Amino acid sequence: MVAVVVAVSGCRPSAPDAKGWQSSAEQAVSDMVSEVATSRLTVRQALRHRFVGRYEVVTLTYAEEAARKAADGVSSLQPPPSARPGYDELTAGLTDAADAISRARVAVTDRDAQTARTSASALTRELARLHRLQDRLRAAR
Amino acid sequence: MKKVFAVALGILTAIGGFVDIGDLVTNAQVGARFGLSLAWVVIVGVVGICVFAEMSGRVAAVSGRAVFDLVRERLGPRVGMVNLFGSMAVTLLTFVAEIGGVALSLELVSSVNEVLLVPFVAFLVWAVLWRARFSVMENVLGLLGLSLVVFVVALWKLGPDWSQLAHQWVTAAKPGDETWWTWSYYAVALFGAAMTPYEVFFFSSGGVEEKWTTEEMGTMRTNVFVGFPLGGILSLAIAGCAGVALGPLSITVDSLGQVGLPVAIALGKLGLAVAIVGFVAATFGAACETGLSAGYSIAQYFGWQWGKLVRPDAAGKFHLVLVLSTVLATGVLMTTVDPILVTEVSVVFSAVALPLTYFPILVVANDHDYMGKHVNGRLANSLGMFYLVVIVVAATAAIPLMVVTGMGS
Repeated sequence: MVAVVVAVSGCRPSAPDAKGWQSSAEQAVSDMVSEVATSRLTVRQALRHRFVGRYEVVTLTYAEEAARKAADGVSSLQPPPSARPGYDELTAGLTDAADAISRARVAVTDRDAQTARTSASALTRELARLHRLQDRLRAAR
Repeated sequence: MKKVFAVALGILTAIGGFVDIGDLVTNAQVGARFGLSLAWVVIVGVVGICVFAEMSGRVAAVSGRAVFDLVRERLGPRVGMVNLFGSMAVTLLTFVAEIGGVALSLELVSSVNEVLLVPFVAFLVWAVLWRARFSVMENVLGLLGLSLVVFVVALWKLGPDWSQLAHQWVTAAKPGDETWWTWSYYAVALFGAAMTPYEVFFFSSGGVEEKWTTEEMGTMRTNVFVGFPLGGILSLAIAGCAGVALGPLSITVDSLGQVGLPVAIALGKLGLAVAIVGFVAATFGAACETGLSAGYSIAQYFGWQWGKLVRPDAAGKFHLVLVLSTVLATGVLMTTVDPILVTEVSVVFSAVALPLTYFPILVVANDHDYMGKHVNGRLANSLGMFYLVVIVVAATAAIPLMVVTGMGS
């Protein structure tokens, strides 16, 4: 019995039930909000020349890695049927947010102030989108 | 004048040496998510570490012997071995986290991947343990660790709503979007970070290294009862900065870079540079202390020659433990495990191991044969017993809370 439970729960792709999916999706969006907010704050402070060494680049790199992990965490799951309607919107939102962080990192590493300003605006838009996703997920509880 | 200088130096190094990677990360995480609503845990933890550090320092000053030396003798080899095993596991885990913390701190300014920095950092730590004088190591790193006072200045410059911070502190109110489970998990983690076992091993063994006698007990107590609480203020300032600058943006702390962001916002380049010096000094100092604590614990249990004042060829086994611990920590970090994750695990397991560390200290400090007229008084015993209950509750709850909350997520 234990072997069957272990074998089923260990299937790839991992297929959580509706509650498990909801929890994973909320966690991923919440993590992504944190990483996008960190990146926007870092870019804004970098534009104001408030960092020493490569502090801003390292901070953005860590935010980028964590953002990819959050996006991959959800996209690698098998959504339950009840979650299909919002699935594309969720995964696209997470992927776009992670991409926006990557573009911000590239601009800051290149010391390209103009592109960095554009990236900060893009991060603000992604943040608003993630907050809408977050509200929708909460409402679906 | 010389005595005043010694006391002042002791207090300053106690403040600077109080914070380590566990305090840096956990306080910033808690501050960003809970504001100052868990500040009371830091206060409870600081009073607890003061109570037991004073006891272990007094044991060292009166008996001229360190804690593990007496634990084995007083409680027998079997209980001593359980105590050694639990405490060593947590101390080694903390040692790994501290070396990783130094590498992460250096990565912030160099952008060299922390995994590549680990062997370099580990070699430096070992070289300091091998060659540097005990007082130089303790004082230089402790004083540089004082740079973290920059978080107090940054908090002031951020201009928070002080009445709101005070309200969070006094009411200990849980934020609405957090559960009681996560609130409790972080309370236990903060408590574990404040009362990390290595601190008392290092403190008592350091007392033996520096040949404390009963005449130095006044200085020792001043260092503990003034230096540690002031060090606790640094912890609260780190939490306060994260609560003011990161919390409102829904930022949860998962990298060391995020811990320093509030300082960059408030004070710019200069402030951030000072904070990074503080990060490096605090983690490097703690790496040396945990490395030595690993050597002290094993050598004292087995009755080997130990200490930095003993010639290395006379304390070969002690130095071998230092080398092996350093190699082990390097090996673990070279697997690319996230040092922040190691830190999070180490503070929780610190909480689990607390009874194994603090119960024997209470027993030895109550033994008339060892302590004579300096045996625990009524106040020390009341506080010791109270903390033993708190410690057992925290130790029992730590693992279940870690599982239930998925490590606080």
